[in-house]
Amino acid sequence: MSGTTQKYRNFVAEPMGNKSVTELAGIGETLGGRLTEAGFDKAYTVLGQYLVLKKDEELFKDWMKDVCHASSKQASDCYNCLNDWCEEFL
Amino acid sequence: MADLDDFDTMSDADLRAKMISQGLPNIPVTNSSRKVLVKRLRASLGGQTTPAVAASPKKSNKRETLVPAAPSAAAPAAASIPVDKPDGVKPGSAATKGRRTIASTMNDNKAAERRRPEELVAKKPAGAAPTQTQRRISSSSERREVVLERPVKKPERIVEEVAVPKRTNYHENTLEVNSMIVLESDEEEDEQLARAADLVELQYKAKEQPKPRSKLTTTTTNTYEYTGKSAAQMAPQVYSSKAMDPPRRQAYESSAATAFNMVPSSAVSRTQTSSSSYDYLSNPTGRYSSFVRSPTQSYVTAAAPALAPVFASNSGHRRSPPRQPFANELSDENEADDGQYESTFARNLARQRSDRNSPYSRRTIASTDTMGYEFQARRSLRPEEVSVSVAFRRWLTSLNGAYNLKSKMFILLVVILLIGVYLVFH
Repeated sequence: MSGTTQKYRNFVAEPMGNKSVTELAGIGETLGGRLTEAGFDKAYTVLGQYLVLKKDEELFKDWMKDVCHASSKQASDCYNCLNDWCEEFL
Repeated sequence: MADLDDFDTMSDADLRAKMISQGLPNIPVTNSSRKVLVKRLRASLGGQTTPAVAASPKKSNKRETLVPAAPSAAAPAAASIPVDKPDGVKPGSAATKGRRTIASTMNDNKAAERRRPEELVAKKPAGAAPTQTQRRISSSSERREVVLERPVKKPERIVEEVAVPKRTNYHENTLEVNSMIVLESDEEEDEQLARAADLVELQYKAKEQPKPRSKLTTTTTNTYEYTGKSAAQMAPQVYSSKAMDPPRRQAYESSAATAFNMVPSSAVSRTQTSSSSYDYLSNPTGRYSSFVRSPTQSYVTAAAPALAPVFASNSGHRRSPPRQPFANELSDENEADDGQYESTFARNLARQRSDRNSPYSRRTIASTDTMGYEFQARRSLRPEEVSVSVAFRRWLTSLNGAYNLKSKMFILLVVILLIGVYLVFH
């Protein structure tokens, strides 16, 4: 089990507000660009998709892989980030 | 293929109804989630499509390699879930699920095999029920070995438990014999035992020597005469520290106690040839050394009262601290005590000195001692205490020894008396 990253801690530590999608853990510039092209430019849009999929891990990861061709680790990091944020603020 | 086309052309509501009918979760179908949900539905239906393989061939290959030793029976078990996914996402997840289960079963089997000995080892100290272990072990030999190990360990523990009280008893016995066996190394004990053996030999040698020699060994500087008490009463408390034995002598006494017990009492009384302390047992006057210590300071323990006289007689030259005479006399603290003793026993001391030929006669006796430095301690005791009368008597004794002056003086006295009688009558 790898520890949490600073990006993850920063995102989970506060409300996301209008944060960019690239501030999500596991989402870099590349994946952020792809998500933006797909219409998910903000973090809350990804959160909306996460909620639409009813927080289903597999579905969300599959969606991530389908939309932005994320790897399993990237999808997992993003899922954990959103999941923990929801547990904290939702 | 018709189903697949239907899924692609199916409306969101129909697709959602289809998913519900397949037992999938009721997830709203949106444009963004439609694709994922269709994949999930296809995976649940078991339909396999070729485009998925073309979409993500790498992933499928990777996952195939991830299950290298998957048993053939496991694949049919997961036949409902296609191994290869149509587009690399949905079936992939299902495939991963199936593979995970397969891999998990394999891993579980292996892990279970690995864990079993650990669990058994962990359960051994916990004292797990033997019936459970036997049931599990019925198919494996390792468990049988483990079961066999358990009774082997139990006797060891029992032996250890039995050994502990033995040790304690042993120490208790030694302490009963003599409580001074403490914190002595084995080497020192060996040395002390060797010295004890030497002393025993000296004791036997002392038997052959004439008895008056013991008188010559008596000390005049620090011996005092107690007429009121008997020697036997004083024995447990008597302790002579004049002998200049090394400090280690204090410890081997206990180990050599049995050896000294074997020695007859007469021999024990003659052991003073190696020391200068006076033997109060052989002395009818009850003289004993001036170093009388309290019972707490005495090395003779209460647990061995029968041995007390022997120890007391032996302790004169074995247990005495070597440098104490120097320390006691040179220290200012002990001067007062010495003064007390001198005040009370000064006359007796002078008398004892007068009885002896010379204080240096003990040198020759001390020279026979293995220690060899005994007379030095005597020299340092009270060199200035020699009074005029004692010196005069010594001078007379020396003259008597040199010129046989007594007989001459006796003749001279007789002659003077005859002259006096002659003058009286004439």
